[in-house]
Amino acid sequence: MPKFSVKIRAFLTGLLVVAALASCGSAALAAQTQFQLRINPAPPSGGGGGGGGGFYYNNTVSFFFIAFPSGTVTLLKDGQVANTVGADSNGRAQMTLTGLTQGTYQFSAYGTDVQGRQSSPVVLTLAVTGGTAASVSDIFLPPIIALGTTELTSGSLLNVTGTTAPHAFVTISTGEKVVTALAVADGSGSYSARLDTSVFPGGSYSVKAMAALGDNLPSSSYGYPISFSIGPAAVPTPKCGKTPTDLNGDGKVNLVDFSILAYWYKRPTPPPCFDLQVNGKIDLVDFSIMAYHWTG
Amino acid sequence: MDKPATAKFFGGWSALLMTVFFLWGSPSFASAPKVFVSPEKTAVVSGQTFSVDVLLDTSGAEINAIEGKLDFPFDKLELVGVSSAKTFISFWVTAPECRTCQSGKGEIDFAGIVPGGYAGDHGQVLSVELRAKGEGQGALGLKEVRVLLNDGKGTDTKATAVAGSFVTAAGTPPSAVSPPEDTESPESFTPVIAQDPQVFDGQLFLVFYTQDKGSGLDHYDVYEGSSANPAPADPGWRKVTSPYVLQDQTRGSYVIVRAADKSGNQTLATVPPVPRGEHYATQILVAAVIFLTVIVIILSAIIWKISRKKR
Repeated sequence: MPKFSVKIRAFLTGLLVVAALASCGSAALAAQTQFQLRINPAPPSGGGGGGGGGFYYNNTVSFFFIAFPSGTVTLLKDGQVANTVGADSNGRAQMTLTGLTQGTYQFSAYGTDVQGRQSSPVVLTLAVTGGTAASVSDIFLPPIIALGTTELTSGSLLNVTGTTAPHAFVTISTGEKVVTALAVADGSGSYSARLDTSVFPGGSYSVKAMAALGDNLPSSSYGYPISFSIGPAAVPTPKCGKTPTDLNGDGKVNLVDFSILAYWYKRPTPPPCFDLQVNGKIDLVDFSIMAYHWTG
Repeated sequence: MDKPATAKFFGGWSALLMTVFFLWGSPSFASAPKVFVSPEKTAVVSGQTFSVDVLLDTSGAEINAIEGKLDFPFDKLELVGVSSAKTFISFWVTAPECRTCQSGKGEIDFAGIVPGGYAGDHGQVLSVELRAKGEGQGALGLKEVRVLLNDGKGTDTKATAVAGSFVTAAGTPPSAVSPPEDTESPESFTPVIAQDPQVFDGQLFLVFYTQDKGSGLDHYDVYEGSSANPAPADPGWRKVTSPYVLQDQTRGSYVIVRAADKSGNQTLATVPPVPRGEHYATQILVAAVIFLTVIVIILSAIIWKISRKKR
C-alpha cells in the first residue's frame, strides 16, 4: 500500500537534514515524489511579531501547488478553510499564510478542476517553533479520478477519466488485484484510460490514481480510491445532501455538518441519513467517515 | 514493491526547528498504533505539580479519529488542569475534561477527529497537569482507547494503550516554573448560524470553533442583544459551547462569540442581525405569493363555473 512521509529538521547552521521514508505499492511508472521546503530568515521584529519571552508570532508560510489547469486550490488550516486560490493554465497555484503563532498546524489542501470535481487532499503537519518565513513547494495534488460507470458486468473494461497537471504521466491501479493502466494527460490536464477487469470475480473493488511530471520531477501520491463493483452494487447509504457526509446539503462537509452529527452523538434513533456507518447510532466511526470526506 | 522517493530542500539560516510531515496514500502500517502516557514513570514529592502527556504513535498508519479515557487515582492526585493547546486533534467530539471529578473519580475522557488524517510517532493528544497528594504510588491508566483509520470506513486499528505510573515521596515540592508568557489572542474565526429540521427541533443554532496555540483555549462566551459592542462585563455574556441554540430565533439580535485562552486573551467574532427590512421583505413576499395563489384559484373556480353555466 502506498505511503510516504518526510521529516525535515532545520538547525542553527541552516543545514537541513532530511530523512525521507517512503514505501509504495506496485507502480508501473517509476515516478519520484519530490517537493521543496525553503526557510528564510525571520523577518525583522516589529509590526506585531515577537513573543514577549515565550511564543513567537507572525510566522509566514507560503505554499506552491501543482494542481489542475484553471481550477482552484483550497487550503485548510486545522480543518477550517484558510484560503482558496485559482490555478493558472498550467495548474500552478500559490498562497501565503501570515501571522501564524508558534505551534503545530495541520494543513490539508485539495483542488477542483474546471468541471468542479474535487481531488483527494494532501496533508501537511507543520510544527514551527521559531519566528520564520517558510515555503513549501511542489505540492502535487493527486489526480482527480472519475469512472464511466461504477457497476460493471464481468469482464468488461473500466473507463477511467480525470484531470491532473498538463502532460503528466498518470498511473491508475486497483487496490485489491493489481491491475494497472498508464495514461498521459493532454495540455488541459485531461486523461483517460481503460482497465481490464476480467481477472475480478463479482464483488466490490476500488481504483486510484497518481501522477508524475517525469523522471526526477515532482509526483503526487495516490488519491483516495473510488469504488466500483462487478455485478450488482451494494445498497447505497441513505444520504441527506449530495453526498452522505454532507448532512445539511450545502455541498460542503464542514463544522456545520460536524455540529449536526455531534448533536446526535450517542443519542437514540438518529435520522438514518446521519448514521453514516448504518449501525443505528452515531459514534466515533461516523465522525471518522465524515473526517475522511471533509472539505472545510 | 517500494517506490523510490526523494526530497529536495533548500535551507537558509534560521534559529528554528521545523518539522514537516507529508501524508499521502492509503493507510499502511506494520503494527497497531499505540496510545501512551509520557513520561511513562514519574517520581515526585508530595505537593509537587507535574505534567503528563497522552501521546499517539500511529505506527505508520494514517488515522483520523481517536477516543479514550485517562484514569488517575483521585485520592492521590489532584487535577490542576487539562490542556489541548499542542494537540494534533482538529475538532473535539468530546473535549478532554474530567466529568467524573465531582463524584470523586479521576477520569478524563476525550474523543476527536483530524480531517485529512494524521500520521506520526509522537502526536500529542492532550496534556494533564496534576498535583501529588500525600505519599504513595499509582497508575495513570488508559482505557477504552480506539484509533480509527482515515480510510472512509472508520476501520478500527486495534490500538494498544500503555499506561504510565507515578511515585510520590515525602519532601518539599520545588517552586513551580512559570509557563511562557502568552500575549496572543485565540485565532480569528467565523461563527456560522445554521438550521436543520432534525437538529434542535429545527431551531437556529450557532456553530463556532477556534484554536489557541499558546496557552490553549479556555472557553467561549456568547452575547445576544442589541449592542454591537457590549461591555466585557455585560450580564448578557454567557459561557456556552458549540453548537449553541440561539435565544433570539428572529435573528434580530447581534450574536457575538468571545473566545478566551487560558492567559485571558480574547478574540471576538460577530454575526450581525438580519435587517428588519429583510425580514419584512421576506414576509411580504411570502404573503403576496399566498394571496396571488388564492386569487388564481378563486378566479379559476369562477371561470370554470361560468363556462359550465354557458354549456
